[in-house]
Amino acid sequence: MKELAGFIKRTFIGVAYVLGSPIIAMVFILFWLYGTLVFLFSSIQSIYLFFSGQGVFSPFEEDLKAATRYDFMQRNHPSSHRQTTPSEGETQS
Amino acid sequence: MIIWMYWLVAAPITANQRNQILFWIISIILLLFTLIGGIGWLFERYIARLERQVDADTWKLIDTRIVTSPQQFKRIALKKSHRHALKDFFWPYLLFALVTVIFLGYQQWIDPTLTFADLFDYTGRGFNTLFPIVDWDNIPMNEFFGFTIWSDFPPLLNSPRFVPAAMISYVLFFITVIGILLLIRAVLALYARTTRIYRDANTFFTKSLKDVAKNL
Repeated sequence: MKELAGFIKRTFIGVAYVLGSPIIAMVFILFWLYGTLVFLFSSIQSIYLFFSGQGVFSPFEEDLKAATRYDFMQRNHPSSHRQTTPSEGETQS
Repeated sequence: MIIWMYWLVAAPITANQRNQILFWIISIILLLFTLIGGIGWLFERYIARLERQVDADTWKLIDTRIVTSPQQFKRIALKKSHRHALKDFFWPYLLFALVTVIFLGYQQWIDPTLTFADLFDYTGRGFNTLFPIVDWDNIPMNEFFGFTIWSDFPPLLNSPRFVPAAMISYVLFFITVIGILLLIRAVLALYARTTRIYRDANTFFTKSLKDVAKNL
């Protein structure tokens, strides 16, 4: 019975996909354009970063902060770091 | 479809035969929809897998409370998503550029008579020589109860065959197909990350009332 319900549900979803296919195609094309624009702008930005001596894929400032704080938490309270999260500015051990 | 429905009603067949035909038509249509639903399910699963990239990129930021609001989360997660998009879209566009360069180079230095249309030509040296090509324009038609409908399979214009002279078309076709698959993956990944970021940004910084009530 459960299998039959799943089959019927999948069939109705199939009908929904067929009816919604123009919208799905439109969303796909929009994300393709969005991705292409992101690619173009990011490429230009990467070229600028590369020639200005900065890393193209270097970690973000937030990642560096998070890594430092995470190391601090792991060293001090490896099992229960949630209760002992240091306050702002207390990132160095 | 309407013609066939009309035929079902008007044809000189018994009610039992009519019911059988109707049963098979409906079964095939339902199976087709289920198949489409199944393919959709595979895509849903794949998109759900691609969504996890957001989690992998940002869990440490939330765990260490570097990011403390949905706005901050959206800003940094989108920056990371765009960086992934740069990497994802790079390969398909590189392959498309490679196809263009190979085609122009081949035309320039090896065979100046090769045209863009030759790459598709099933009678000469196009990649379509690998596929069956049917003549839809000259499909046999017949009068049937006042309707002109298809009465046979369309004539086959090309049987799949390997043509050594079409090797350049095969290579370019193969690279293009890989490029298109990578492009589809890149677009799906971008869609998955973007929807995950906007859909769930608020939920990462709020608690469910049920969970709160449990601790009362």
